[in-house]
Amino acid sequence: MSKQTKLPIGIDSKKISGELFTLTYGALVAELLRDLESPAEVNRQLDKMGYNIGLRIADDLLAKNAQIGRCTDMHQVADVLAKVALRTYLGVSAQVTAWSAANDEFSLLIEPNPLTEFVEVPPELAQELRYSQMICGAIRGALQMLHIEVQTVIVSDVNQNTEIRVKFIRILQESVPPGEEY
Amino acid sequence: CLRPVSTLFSKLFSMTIFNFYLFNRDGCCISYKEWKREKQAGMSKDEEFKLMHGMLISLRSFASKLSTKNGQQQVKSYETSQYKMNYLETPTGLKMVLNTDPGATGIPELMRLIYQVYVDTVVKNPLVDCSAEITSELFQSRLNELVEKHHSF
Repeated sequence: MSKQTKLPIGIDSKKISGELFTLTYGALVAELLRDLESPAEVNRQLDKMGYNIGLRIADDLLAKNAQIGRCTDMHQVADVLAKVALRTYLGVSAQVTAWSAANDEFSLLIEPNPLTEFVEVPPELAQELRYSQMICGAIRGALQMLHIEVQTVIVSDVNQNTEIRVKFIRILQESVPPGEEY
Repeated sequence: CLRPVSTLFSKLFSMTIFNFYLFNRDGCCISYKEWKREKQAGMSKDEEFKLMHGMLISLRSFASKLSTKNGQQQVKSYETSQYKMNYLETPTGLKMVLNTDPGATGIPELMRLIYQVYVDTVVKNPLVDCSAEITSELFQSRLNELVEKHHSF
């Protein structure tokens, strides 16, 4: 504990090597490609795992960053994702670009994407496989915990900058015990 | 040495922490703990939890409807002549209540620490179901330790 307090704010003493993380993720994707029949199914599984991570990671991020309050618009959400969340968990920050006219959709440009650092996808898979799909799932899961439903898709991935498109769908109603209306 | 001074202070101002409630986003009480609660509510714990949760939701809606200023706001506490209800609600819908003596200090910070303990022992444990009552021994003991070591206890 005493060691932790000496570090500057925002730096966690429990950081792990990025390479270990990247290689573990690579091993997971390779295993899924061996186990499952199609790259599309691999994408689905990666997304599902990411989603389950997102449901839990939201609380972790909030416990570490007391300054993050309830987000009221998508610009705040984009800011937190790009500057705090990705910085904390992937060690990189993203650029927020390409806002839609209605301000409900934006792109996160992750450059460089640590997950694809050592990756070259064989041409027969390149069309279908979304290598970093887990990030999409994690963003969707984490925002669902904050009562925001979004759609996330990967626009471009390995060999280019990773671009993730995030689209706002709706605010989820907070559950109130039956019989109580406010 | 600080310890005797702080015990002296807590004797002088009788600063204490009475009890603790933790509600998940569905409104179920997933943890309850009491330390120095002298009077019981005279109803079953289940009913008490429902009453508490209903009160929190009403309080929130009351505060936002009668607000005199735009923008976001959160209920932080209410106080009676006997005790103070300290409240923390996270953006994920977790609700935490700590009832203390009105004179107790440093309680919001203590609640942030308890949130961190919850994350470390419950959320980060993949084998624990986040929506059920917390049975984790580790959570119980670390919560206990945190509260009993606090200078307001």
